[in-house]
Amino acid sequence: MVKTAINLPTHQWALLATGAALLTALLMLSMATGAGVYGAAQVFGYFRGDAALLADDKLAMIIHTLRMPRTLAALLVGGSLAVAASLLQSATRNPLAEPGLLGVNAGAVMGLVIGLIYFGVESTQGYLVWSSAGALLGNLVVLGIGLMLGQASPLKLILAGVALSAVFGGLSNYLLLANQTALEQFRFWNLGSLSASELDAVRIITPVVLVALGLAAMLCRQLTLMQMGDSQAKALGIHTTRVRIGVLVASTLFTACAISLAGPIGFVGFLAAYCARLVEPVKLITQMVFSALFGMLFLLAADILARWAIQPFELPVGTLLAAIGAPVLIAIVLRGGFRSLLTVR
Amino acid sequence: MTVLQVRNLQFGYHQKPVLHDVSFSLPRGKLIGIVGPNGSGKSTLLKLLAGQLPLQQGEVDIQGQALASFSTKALARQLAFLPQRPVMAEGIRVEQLVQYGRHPHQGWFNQWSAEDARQVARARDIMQLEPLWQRIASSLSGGQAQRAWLGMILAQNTDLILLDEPTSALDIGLQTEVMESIRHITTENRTVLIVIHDLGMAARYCDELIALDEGRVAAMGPAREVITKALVDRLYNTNVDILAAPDDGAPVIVPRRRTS
Amino acid sequence: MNTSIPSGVWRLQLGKATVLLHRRTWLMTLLMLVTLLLLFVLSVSIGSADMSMREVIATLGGQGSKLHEIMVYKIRLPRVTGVVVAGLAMGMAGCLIQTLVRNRLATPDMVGVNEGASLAVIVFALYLTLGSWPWWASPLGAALAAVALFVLCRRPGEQGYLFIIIGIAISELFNAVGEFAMSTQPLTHLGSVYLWTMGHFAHVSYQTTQPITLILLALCPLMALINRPLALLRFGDATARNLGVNVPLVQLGILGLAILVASLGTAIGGPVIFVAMAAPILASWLTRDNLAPIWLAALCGAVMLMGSDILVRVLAQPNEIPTGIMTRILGGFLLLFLLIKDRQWSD
Repeated sequence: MVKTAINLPTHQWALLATGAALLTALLMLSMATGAGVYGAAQVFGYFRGDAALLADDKLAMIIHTLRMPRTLAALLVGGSLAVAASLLQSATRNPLAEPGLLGVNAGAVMGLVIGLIYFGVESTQGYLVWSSAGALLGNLVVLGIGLMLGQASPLKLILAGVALSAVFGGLSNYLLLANQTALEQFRFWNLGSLSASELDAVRIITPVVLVALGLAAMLCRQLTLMQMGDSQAKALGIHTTRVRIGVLVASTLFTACAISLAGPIGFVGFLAAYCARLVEPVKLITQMVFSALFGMLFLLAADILARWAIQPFELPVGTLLAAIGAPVLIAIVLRGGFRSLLTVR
Repeated sequence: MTVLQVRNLQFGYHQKPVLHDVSFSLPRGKLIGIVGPNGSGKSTLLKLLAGQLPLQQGEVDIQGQALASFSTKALARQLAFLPQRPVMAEGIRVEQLVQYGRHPHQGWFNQWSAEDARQVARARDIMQLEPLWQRIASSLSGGQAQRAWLGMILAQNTDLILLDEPTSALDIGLQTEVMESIRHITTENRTVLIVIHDLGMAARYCDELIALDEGRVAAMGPAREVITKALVDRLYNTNVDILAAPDDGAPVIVPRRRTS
Repeated sequence: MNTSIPSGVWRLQLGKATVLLHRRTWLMTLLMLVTLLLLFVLSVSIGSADMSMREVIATLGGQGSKLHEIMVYKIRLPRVTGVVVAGLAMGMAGCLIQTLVRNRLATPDMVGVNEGASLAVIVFALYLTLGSWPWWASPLGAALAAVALFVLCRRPGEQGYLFIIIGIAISELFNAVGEFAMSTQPLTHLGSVYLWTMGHFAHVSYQTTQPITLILLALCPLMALINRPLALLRFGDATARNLGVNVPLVQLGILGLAILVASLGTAIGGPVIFVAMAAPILASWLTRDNLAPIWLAALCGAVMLMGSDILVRVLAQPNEIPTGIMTRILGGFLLLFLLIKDRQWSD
C-alpha cells in the first residue's frame, strides 16, 4: 500500500490516476468536437495563445458559448448524478437506486414545468429553485418509502420509482399540453441534452454542486456505518434521522443542478455508482470519489459520441445513455449481481 | 405388480452428477422414507419420480407403465407430489385448496361430480380440517397449513403419494402430528414415499427406509435393518448408539457426545 | 356440513356436463356490466355540446334529431367503443400477466411491451407511412419486445422480479428511442401521433377498432380454456404440475396471449398504462378472491378506462388531454399505495 495522508490501496491510486488522465483527454476531445469547421488544431491553438486564432471571433464564440460551457456542464452533471446515485444507493441499501430510476428526476422536471408555466421562470436561479422543489418532493417520497419498505424488498423501491415517474411525468405532461408553446420547447429538452448549456448557468450552478459535495463528504462516514442497520448505527451514536435529512438535501441539490443544466438524464448515475462499488465495496467516501470520476467520464464520453455519431446532427445525450445504459443494466442484473435480491417477494 | 419401480436411474445437473445407478421397487401400502445426508440426492430422486424433472438415464415405472408415457394429467391421477416449500396462493380458503386436489379428475365440461364431493369430504375428515374449513389458507400456522396441503393431496386420490420433507419447518409436536396423519394415509393401501431429514423421525414412523449416500442407494429395507450404527456412522460421519424404543423396539438414534 | 356442492357456488347441469358458477363472481360481473353501460351512455353524452343521457339513449334507439345522430354515431361512438375495447383488452392482459408472474404489481406496461408497440407504431406512422393508421404495427413491436424479454428471462413464473426489472430497462430503452424519433419532427407534423403515444382516443376510428375487436373475440375461447390452469399456476410450478397442468406450455401460452392482447389494446388509442395492473386488482377485490376470472378483469378494465376517459374530458375542458395521462397519474398513485400497503416493518 502506498502510504499517504489518505489511505488507498495501490490499485485504486493507479485507477484514479488513469481516470484523471482519461478525463483530461476527454476534456480536450470534447473541446475539439462539434459541428462546424473548427477542429482540434484550431482549439488548441486558441488556448496556446496563437494571435491569429485569438482574433477569430467565430472561434471564440464557438469555444466560449458552445463547447466550453457544454464540457464543463458535462462534468457538473455527470459528477452530480453519480454522487447522488451513490448516496441514494447507500441510504436505501439498494444497488439499483439512482435519481432517474427512482423518479427523482421526474419530480425535478415537474417542479421546473410548474415554475415555467405558472410563474414564468426563465433564469438559471429560477430553474434551480423550482427543480429543487420538485426533486425534494421526489426524494421525500422515495426515501420515505425506502424507510417503510426496509431492506426486505429492495426491488419494490424500484417499482416505487416507476410509480413516481408515472405520477410526476403524467402531471408534467398534463400541464404542458395545456400550454402549446411551452410544450414545443420542452419536448427536446426532456430527452436530456447538453446542447443548451450556457457559461452563466455553469457559473451559477458550480458553487451549489460544491456545497452538495461538501455535504455528501460529511455524511460519508455515518452512512457507511448505517449499512449495518439503523439499530446498530444508533448504538454507535449516529443520528440516523439527521443523516437521512442530509442525504435528502444533498441528493435534491445534485438532482436539481443536473436537471437545470441538462434536463433529465438517467442511467449515468447508476452506471457510475455501480462501477465505483466494484472498485471500492465498503468505504463510501472513496466510492463517491470514483463515482464522481466515472460519472464525469461517462457523460463526457456520451456527449462527445452524441455530437459525433450522426454529424452534423446531434443525438440527445439522454437517449444515447438510455440506449447504452439499459442493456448494461440488463446484463448486470442477469449476471447475478443482484441474485440475492431477486428471490425476495 | 409393484406400484413404483426404478431401474438404473442416473441424473445430473450441469455436468454435476447427482444420482448414480439407483434401482429399487416400492412395496405397496407402506410408508417409505428416503434418508441420507445433505446433498445425497434425496429431493432430486423424489422430483424425478414425480415427473417434476425430466428423466435422463434409466427407467421409472408407475404401476407397470413407463413414467415418460404418462401425460401430465394422467400422471396426476396416478401419483401426488407435495414440494418442500409449496407456494400458497393468497386469499383462498382451505375448502378451495382441498377442492383443487380434484383437478386431475375434472375436465372443462365436468367441473364437479358426486365423486369429487365424496373425496373432498373424505380428505377433510381424515386430516381433521373441519374447524379450519373456511379459514384463509395463507393465514394458517405451519402445522395447520401442512395438514391442509395433505388434505389437497388426499383429495387427489392417488395410489402413490410423494412428499418432500413434509415436516422440516415444524416443531416436534407438529412433526409427530403430521407423521401420524401420513401414517394414517397408508392404511388404505396407498403407498407413501417421503424424503425426510430427521433420521430419528424416519426410524420411528417409516416402515421401510431407502438410505442414499452421494447419489447411490446405500441400504434399503425395514427401518430396523437399515438403521445400524455402522451405516449411520458412515453416512453422517458421526458416532452414535442405536437403542430400542420402549414401546415397540423401533430404532432410536443417540449421538455420543465428544466431550462430557 | 353439506359439501355436495362447494359453498358459494351455483351448479349448472346441462345434460351430462356440470359447470360451476361462483355466485359472487357472477353477481359482480352483472354489476360491472351495468356500470359499464351507464358510463357508456354518460361518455357519449359529454363533449363540446353536451347531450342529456336521455337524448343519447333516444338517439341510439333511432329516435334522435339529425344533429344528435351525427354527433353520436360519427363522432362520439367511435371514440367510446374504442375506449371500451381497449379497456377490455388491458384488463385481460393484466389478469394473465399477474397470474403468470404471481405478482400483483406486474403489468404488461412494465415489461417493455407497450413501449415496443408504441415505438413500432411511431416508426410506421411517421417514417414508413402506408396511408391508414398502422395499428397492426403494435402487435409487431410488442412481439419484438416480448422476444427480447423472453430471450433474457426464461422463466417468468419463478423469477418474477427479474422479469420486471428487465422489463423496466427495456421500456426505458424503447421509450427513449421513441421519444427521440418523435422529437426530430415539429409538433405540427406529428399530428395525432404525439397525443396517441400518451393514450388518446379522440381520433379513434372504426377502421382500427373493428379488426381488433374481431381478433379479441376470436381469442376468447382460448382464454376461457386457459382460465382453470391459470388458477392453478398460483400455487407454483411444482404444485400446478402435480395437479396435472402442463406448466411450460401453459406459461408460454399465457405470456404470448397476454402480450398479444395488450398490444391490441394499445393499438387502438395508444398506451394506457396501469389499467392492466389495476383491473385485476379491482376484480379480485370485488369477488373477495385472489383470482377473479379473466372476463371480470376485462370488464373492470373497461370500466376503469371509461371512468378515466370521462374524468379527463370533464376536467380538461375545453382542452383535449390524452386519457393515458389520467391513467398514468391515478395508476401511479395506486402502485405507490399497493407498495406501501404490503410493507413489512424492518430494522
